[in-house]
Amino acid sequence: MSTADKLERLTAMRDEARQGGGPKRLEQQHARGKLSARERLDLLLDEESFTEIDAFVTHRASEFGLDEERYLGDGVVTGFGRIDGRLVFVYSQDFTVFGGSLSEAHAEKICKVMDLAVENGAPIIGLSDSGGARIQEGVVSLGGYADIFLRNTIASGVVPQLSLVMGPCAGGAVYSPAITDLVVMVEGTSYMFVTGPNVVKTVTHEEIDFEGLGGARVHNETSGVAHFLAPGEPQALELARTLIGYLPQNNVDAAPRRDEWSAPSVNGAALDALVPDSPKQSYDMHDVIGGIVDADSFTEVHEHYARNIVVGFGRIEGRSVGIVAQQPEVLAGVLDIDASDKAARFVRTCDCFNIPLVTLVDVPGFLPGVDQEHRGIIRHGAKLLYAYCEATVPKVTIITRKAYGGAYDVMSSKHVRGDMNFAWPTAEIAVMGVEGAVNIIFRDRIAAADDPDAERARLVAEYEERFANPYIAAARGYVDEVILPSETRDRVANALAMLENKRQALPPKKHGNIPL
Amino acid sequence: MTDYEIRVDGEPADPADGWRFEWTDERVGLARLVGPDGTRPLVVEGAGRDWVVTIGGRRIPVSVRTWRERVLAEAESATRGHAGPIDVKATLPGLVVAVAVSPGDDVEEGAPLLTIEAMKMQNEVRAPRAGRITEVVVAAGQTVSTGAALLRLA
Amino acid sequence: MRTDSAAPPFRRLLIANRGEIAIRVIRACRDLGISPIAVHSDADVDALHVHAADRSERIGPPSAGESYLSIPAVIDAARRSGAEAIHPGYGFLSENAAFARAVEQAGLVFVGPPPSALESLGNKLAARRSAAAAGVPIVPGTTVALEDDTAEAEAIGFPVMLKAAAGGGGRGMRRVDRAGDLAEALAAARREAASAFGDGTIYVEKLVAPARHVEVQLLGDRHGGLVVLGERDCSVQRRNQKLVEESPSPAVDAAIREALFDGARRVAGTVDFHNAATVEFLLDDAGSHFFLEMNTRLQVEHGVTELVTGLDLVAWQIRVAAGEALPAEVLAAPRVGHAIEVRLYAEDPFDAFRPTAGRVTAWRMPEGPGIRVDAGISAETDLPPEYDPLLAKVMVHAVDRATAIHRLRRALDETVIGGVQTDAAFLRWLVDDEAFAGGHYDTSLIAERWGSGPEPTAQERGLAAFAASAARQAAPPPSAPVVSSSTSPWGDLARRESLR
Repeated sequence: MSTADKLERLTAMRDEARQGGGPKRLEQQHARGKLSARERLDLLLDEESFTEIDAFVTHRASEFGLDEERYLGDGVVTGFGRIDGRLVFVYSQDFTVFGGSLSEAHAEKICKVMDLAVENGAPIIGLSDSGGARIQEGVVSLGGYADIFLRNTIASGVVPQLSLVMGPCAGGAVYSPAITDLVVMVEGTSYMFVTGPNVVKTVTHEEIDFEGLGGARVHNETSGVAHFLAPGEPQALELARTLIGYLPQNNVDAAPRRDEWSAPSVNGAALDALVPDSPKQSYDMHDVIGGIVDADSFTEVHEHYARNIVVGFGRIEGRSVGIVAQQPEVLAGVLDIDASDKAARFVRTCDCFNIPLVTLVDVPGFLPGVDQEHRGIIRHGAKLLYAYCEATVPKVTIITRKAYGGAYDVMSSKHVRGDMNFAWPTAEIAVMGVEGAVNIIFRDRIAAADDPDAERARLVAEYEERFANPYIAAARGYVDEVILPSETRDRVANALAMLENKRQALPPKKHGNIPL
Repeated sequence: MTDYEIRVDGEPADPADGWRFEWTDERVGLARLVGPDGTRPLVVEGAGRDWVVTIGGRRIPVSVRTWRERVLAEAESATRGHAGPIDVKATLPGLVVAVAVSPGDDVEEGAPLLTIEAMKMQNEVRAPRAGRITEVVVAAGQTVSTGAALLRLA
Repeated sequence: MRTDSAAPPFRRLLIANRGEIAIRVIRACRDLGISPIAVHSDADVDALHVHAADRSERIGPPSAGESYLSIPAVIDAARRSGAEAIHPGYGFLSENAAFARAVEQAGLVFVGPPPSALESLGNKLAARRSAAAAGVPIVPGTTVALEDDTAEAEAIGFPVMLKAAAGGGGRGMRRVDRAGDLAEALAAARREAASAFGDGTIYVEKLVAPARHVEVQLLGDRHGGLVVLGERDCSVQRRNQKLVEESPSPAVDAAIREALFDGARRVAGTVDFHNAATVEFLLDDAGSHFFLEMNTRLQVEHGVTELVTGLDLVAWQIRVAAGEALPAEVLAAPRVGHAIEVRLYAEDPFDAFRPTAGRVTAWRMPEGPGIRVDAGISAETDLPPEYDPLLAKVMVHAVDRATAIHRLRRALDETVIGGVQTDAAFLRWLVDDEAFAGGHYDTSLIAERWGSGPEPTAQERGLAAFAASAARQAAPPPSAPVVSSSTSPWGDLARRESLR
């Protein structure tokens, strides 16, 4: 074979590798409304920034006729590239090759890029589109999964990890996304479950389809496994690019900062007018967020889950921040089990990656009820408290209206080492609501009165005047400053600039024991 | 040159060959094209995707999209139309105090639909996406439990 | 141009106008050593003409009716500023006899024909009668208000043109093609005229079409001196408004010229006339000419005559108003070469010359030999929607018509305006149009030869595509996240310490 032939052979093999499972299977993939593994990477990464490795890896199995059927790359495209010029490591499963199933070789490829990512301090983005374990390889395939999960865990909190579920992700495979920091699912074409509908039917006799059991909407709205619901694949990939833009490369890197930004889209006057006079009336916390962050910079995380709390990434004067905020419009903004879980995870994600936290508080307390108590609101609420206490990133807190009881403590208060705590004049920092407090404290006096209702009303008004405001807390320094809503943006930006190089450490330990 | 997808006045167009582009005064959009046998002055205004080129005194709208922008734009319009009718359900138990819409109303994403009083607060139920109200299942004064259908959005 | 060191005709003169004509008059003042005073509405606080004057008086809110058309506001401004004379420009109050009287009653000099002339000739119907009485041919039609029956109109022969007696300058005209339409058209015309001009009197003329529109420039002094400064052909019009003017008219031979000049003198002779005015005629395709109207003011296109005669008409208006007699050189001024003016308007020639609003960003006007530009705006100007959208007048002067057209072509190629659509594309097309180049065009040119203009050529589309993509390519990419290079040892330590 001449040298020219050898060069020619390489070119041919490269072309072959790019074919994946062949044109016919690619057509089927497209017909299902899905992109190919490589097309996804084209959209995800900056143009011509992708460097593929292990393109010629093939599986090593020979049972069940597999020695006759080998594909270059073995069903996953791995390598590294850039997003907005920043290094990321990627793997993209190829459904056209053996249904994207995981073999020993396939898993090794993924582990290799994960190891590279950790060594070189850059994020890992996984695009899942796989039928699961390659059954023919048996337990070797399970071992492969475990290798991946171990690395997800070791990398957790070291480099950001994003999972985009672009197709099936079932059985054991689901644990990889579950461990990663952020999970995006594509509506209609992706699903995740541990046990599929067929087995479910035989064991528990429940009849349900893929979409209903573990579709994108289910995991976004009901289980909370997924953080994002993308209407289509291009949007999912664009979202991944956006998310990377908020995150540092690794845990020693500071959060990224843009050098150009626009003023908030909600102006100060609108904020001043936002909180209604009546305590029974709600307002949309998104408007407050819009009045604090740079215009068009807020990306909500877990939007469809536990909507009584809002979390997401934003930018303030170009700096990435993590926002946690009650939503008074939903369930009055109470903290319940799901909201506590959602917020706790997000707080810890930000803390892992040096992203300051801005917390907006309007919380009437924890959700009462037998269901909540029996399902462990104590444990779950404790998670959020733990997360805030543990977080050493800058913590800026603004109480917009209510901050009652234990929930006041939990929500990034001064006592859990909130760095700058602000309150609006409409803030009410108290053990409980006025009515409740009056009924307890003055129970006897009200009972003894000639007109108990009038007496109660009078006492409520008095109590409200005296206690339903932020000044008692301010008098003790629990609140650093009472500010006008229109001042919030400037104060928060100022605080974040001051806190940019905050040093705060926890005593050395292997890891804490967060209630789970 | 980056491979852009270009549309002149809404129609696909290929960029002319053999010319060089030069700004004369970028701030006000004065530019010129230098070609093999002459130059042409023009005004180029815009940024990113949308431009207006004044050539021969005529203002021509031009859209310049990267491949990625085109794919995203197409994905957006494809997914916008496809959602079927959905039920807007109560996410909490409470009393319906006000219904802001009627069957036949067109609403935008985020528009307030009705108000449920619970936890001593008025909770706004908003439209999860744009659409038309086809049915209002509940009425003011009615109590609902979590998961109850409130109205139908097409 | 003054060559002697005599005192200026006035110390201060107020220009009761805006835009390019205000700047034109200001320049004439500077040439004469007069201190120019401008006026401005709130929409024009930062206008070019305000900055060109020695000072500017505010006369009211943006609406023209409450500012530039307000006689008390203008007179008051003149008093405040100590102006001795007022030049009204064109449009606005320039032909308003009441204004001219008010100026004189205030003890100021009105730079224009006497109020009596404004009055007589301002009513177009009365002017027709005067012209007819003076033996000047008029367009067949009534010389009194039209009655309600169709007999008169039928006698003239359809199609006819209904005209407002108090109108003029191309406004208040309505075409009627059949007898059946007449009653309704007449009622509407009366209503519109009453509302627009305060007088609902309508008369009727035969519609002369195709027609050429040729006008004659007059200049007279208070001592009986009168000179005809040539004719201008203004046949390129849209909606009866002029877009292009040239002198001499290619449609006019020596005989017709003489007849037009004679007619103009006769009409001027029916009133007490001095200062500048223009007598407008229609020429039909049989070579006959008809008196249309006499405009007792300076016209937009006066520069064309200035180029051909070498005279400064505005300066002479001012000097005549101050009482000077026209010297022999002016009375016998020769006309040399050929001049053409094109008007740049913020209008879309591809959409029926609809006015286009907005902000002019890029602004490059032609320069060089034989080119004169009178501009009312400069780069980066917001166009107030309350006023006429005239941006600038581009004029060329050359030894003959062919050279002038050639020069105009170059001038238009040099003209670049950004931010709003203008009629520049139409003007550029015009210089290549065969009918225009041959000099045999009439008032139907735009409607019949331009229509709504050609579609962009494939080459233009390709160039536009290239230009936009090249501009995008050259632009710096939008701000991507800065890979945070923290420069604080404290911050670096913070992040390292927190790892355990």
